[in-house]
Amino acid sequence: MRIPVAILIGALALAPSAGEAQTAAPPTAAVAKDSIPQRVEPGLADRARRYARPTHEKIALLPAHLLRLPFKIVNYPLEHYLIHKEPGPVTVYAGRFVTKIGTHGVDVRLQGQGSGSGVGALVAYQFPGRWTASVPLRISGATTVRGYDQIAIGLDSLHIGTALGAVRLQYSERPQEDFFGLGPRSAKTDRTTYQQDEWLAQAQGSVRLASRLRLAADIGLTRHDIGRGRDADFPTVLQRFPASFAGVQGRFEFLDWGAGLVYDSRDVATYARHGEWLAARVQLTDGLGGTQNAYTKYSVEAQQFVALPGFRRSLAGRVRAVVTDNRGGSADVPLFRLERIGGSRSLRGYQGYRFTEHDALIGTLEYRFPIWSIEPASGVALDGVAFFDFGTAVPDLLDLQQRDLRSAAGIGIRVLSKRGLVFKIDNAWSPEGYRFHFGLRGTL
Amino acid sequence: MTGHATHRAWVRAACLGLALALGGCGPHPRLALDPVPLQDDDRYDIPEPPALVRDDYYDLVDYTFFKQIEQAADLPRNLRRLAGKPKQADNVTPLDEIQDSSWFTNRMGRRKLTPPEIAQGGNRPEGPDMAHHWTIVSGKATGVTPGFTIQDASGARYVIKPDPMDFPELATGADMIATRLFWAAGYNVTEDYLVRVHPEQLDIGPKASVKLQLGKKRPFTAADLDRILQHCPREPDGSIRVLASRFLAGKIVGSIPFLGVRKGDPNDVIRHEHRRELRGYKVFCAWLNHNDSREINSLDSYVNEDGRHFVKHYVQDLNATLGSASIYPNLRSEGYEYIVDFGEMGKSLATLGLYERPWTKLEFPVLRGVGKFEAAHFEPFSWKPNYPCPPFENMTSRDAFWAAKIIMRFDDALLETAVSTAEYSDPAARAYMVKTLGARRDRIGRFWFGRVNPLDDFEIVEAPSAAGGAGLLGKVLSGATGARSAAPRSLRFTDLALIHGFVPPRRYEVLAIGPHGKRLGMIVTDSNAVAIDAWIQALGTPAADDVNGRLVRLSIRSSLPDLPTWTPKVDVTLYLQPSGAVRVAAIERDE
Repeated sequence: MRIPVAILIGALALAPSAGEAQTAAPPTAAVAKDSIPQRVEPGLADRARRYARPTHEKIALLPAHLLRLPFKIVNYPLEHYLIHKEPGPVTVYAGRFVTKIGTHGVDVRLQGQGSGSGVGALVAYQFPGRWTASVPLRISGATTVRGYDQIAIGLDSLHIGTALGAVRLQYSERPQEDFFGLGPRSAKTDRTTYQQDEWLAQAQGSVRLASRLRLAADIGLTRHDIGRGRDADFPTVLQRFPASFAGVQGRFEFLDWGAGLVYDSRDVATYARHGEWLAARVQLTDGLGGTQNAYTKYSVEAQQFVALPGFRRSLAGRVRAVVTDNRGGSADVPLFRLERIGGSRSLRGYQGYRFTEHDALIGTLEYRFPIWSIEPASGVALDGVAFFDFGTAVPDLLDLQQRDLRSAAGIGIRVLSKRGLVFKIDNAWSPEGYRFHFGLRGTL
Repeated sequence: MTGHATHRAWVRAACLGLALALGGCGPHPRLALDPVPLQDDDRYDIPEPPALVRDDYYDLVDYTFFKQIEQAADLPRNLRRLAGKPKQADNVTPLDEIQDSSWFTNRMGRRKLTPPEIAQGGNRPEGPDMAHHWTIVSGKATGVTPGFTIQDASGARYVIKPDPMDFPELATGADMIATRLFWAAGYNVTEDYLVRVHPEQLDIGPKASVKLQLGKKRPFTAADLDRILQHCPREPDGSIRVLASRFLAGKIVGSIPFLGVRKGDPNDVIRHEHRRELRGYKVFCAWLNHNDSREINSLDSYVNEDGRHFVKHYVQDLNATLGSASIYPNLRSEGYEYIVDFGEMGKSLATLGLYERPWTKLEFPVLRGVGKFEAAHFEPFSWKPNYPCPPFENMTSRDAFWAAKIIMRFDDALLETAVSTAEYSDPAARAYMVKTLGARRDRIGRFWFGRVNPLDDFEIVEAPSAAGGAGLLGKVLSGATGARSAAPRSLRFTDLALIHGFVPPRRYEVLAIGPHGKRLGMIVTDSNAVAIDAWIQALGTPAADDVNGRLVRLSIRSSLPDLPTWTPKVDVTLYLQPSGAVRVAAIERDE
């Protein structure tokens, strides 16, 4: 029964079709008409018959018609928007919609939070009208598929001379942050969760010292409420680890203030092809109220971007080191304030926040190559990357041993615009398996 | 039955299906028993069709993605391609040509045009009225190409397109050359004139307006004009060299869909991807590097000619040819890969960027008015437009041969004439353009004349000696014998590869087959005239209405230089008319 079907399909598909028409008769003598005709001439029917697709070919094309239907449905909104140019005020960017109604604006974008938030979205209301465009009021709310929520209000991009500033008040609820234990030898199987609710009031500012050198400073008040994680698939921190770990539950309040120098000569901030980015920063933290903590973090980071011979190839490298110094006599730094590495921006072959400790070292080497570009001026392009990450989180970076280093390698794709990175996909391998990362921010 | 045996049975069944389809179900060859009319009947009087609106970006997305998916779902097309029997164009006559139509007029295909005809192109002798002021009636405020529309003293309207400031003579020169060559080939093109206008010659009309986004308009002001003129290169006398493109006659009803037919046009019944002039358009575009040969660069106009209302089809915006991208020279990649080329992207991805795309190392001349246009690395087969066009993807070697033989008729003198219309100020630019066009032409001819048997211009002549002096030199290997008529008749042909110097003199194998597949004889000859009387006489005296009994098919192969093999065959079917005369009734080329 099945063999004749194959024969039938072959016969239907391959039989020469149409064009049976012999040489056509010329049009009948031209008849002058004063007005545009409202009906077709009889000879057209004969012409249509001559060039009509034969019935067997029409039957063979039925599946094609059915397959086209879903694409027509997908195609419709794009066609409607681009061709008919509906005067809707929505501008669509990759992963982001911006709607402007008068001087009011609504910004919708994809955005995750924390280590286990899953995919999320942020909706922001912007009010640039009453004051000036340089003092925009911004109110935003964000949520994720796994119950992470965040609301914030603030003033973005305050320009005062050559200085830039921002203030914001933010509340976040992170119900299932991950913790695997301390140190590089923590086990993947020891995954636990905790909840972290956070209030933050923060002011940031920076001033330009030279053409590529800026001095940045910030001060902030935070309050953390740490409790049991809501992810039923994993135990809470207290179920797996001793209660002597600092920061596994309770309320913590901090005053953070810090300053740093940044030297930036990159060509594009979010996806550089040449230049360097150097930063050194000191942050001091003091516990407030019943929080008996006082510590200082020192961090240095160097990123170097080198154009390679050939068409649009480049090499990117990064090294970052953080040292946490617990100031004399205070309680240990709570775990949610320790250095956490792993995930899409550090060790990509590992889960987010896979390693936690006081000090951290991260390194990345990324080879970037072109896959596609629409035209150089537009900057719209697709790049591929091959990368190698290494790093660790240890109690004391000065006692770092080679066996504590963890590494991962992988490949990825970058969707680029003139402004830099729009979207990235990475697939990384490590001894703990492979991981996919999707994101709107690059690793470096 | 084992699994392996079942699989073999499936394969056999499928092959049987293919064989039945290809060999058993096909119609008899189409025959031109009478002279083929020069005109196609696609100009019936019709009501005005609805206008189609096309967006630049949507056009790219549509053809790069959606139309590709539509074609991938076309089962008959894909099975034919797998079987090596792609669908041939629908509007081809039995003699493997096309008729004049609302799409195409056989100009160079019918006779070699003269240099003055090439220089004139489709333009009127008078051109725009330069003796009086021009009135600007509208301007263009958006987009990358500045410009405006004027009305001259005679009332004719023209779109005015200047050159980009940094690349004088680039776009206007390319447009002038390409418009002439496309017109001479047979396509309908806009009337484009190269003129020099002084700014003081421009008046702003009282109702002149600028169209903004979303259909809004505002008055066109002197500031708008200044802004446009500031970005135009000036001639030594202060004038501006511009292209004046005359408004098309009739009402514009949108672009030409490259897949399917235009809805609302009853004359348009041949799917466009199966029109030979649109398939062969690829070869012309490759020649002139018209990589922006997209749907948006075509136009349909609802015209009234001789009292008939119908849709006429044009190619337009030919300033993005010959290495020009209108406002700047082409990108290096244009002509070598699609804007979104999944094949090339896959190679880069698979090799982590180590695959070096060929165009990254191309060298281009630095000459005033010349864009990224070269011949040394031009490959006719692998040339690509900006996106995959369905007619181009459906092009067969027969379609390409048809286009290539037209292109090969443009000798260097005609190219010189076409290039002279660009009025390049640098003689080196002019010489380079002629040389490059000639070299690309030859590459096209050499390639496509090698994909089929390039014998053409078949005709029956009374005496071989009178038909070019070539006698019957071949040896009769086998065949029917019969009394010769008093005036011996021969089938004469032209070997296009030979006359263009692509191959040395060679031999031809002619196999004659009569009614019911009866083999009448075979000869091998080095002459371009083959005696046919013996085979015609072998038909006897069939009844007047016995068409099949009056046919002789000659399968002709040409030897390949230095190889003991032959080209694909070309089948020439001869028809013995009841009057006793013989005519060529069909030409079919294998590929």
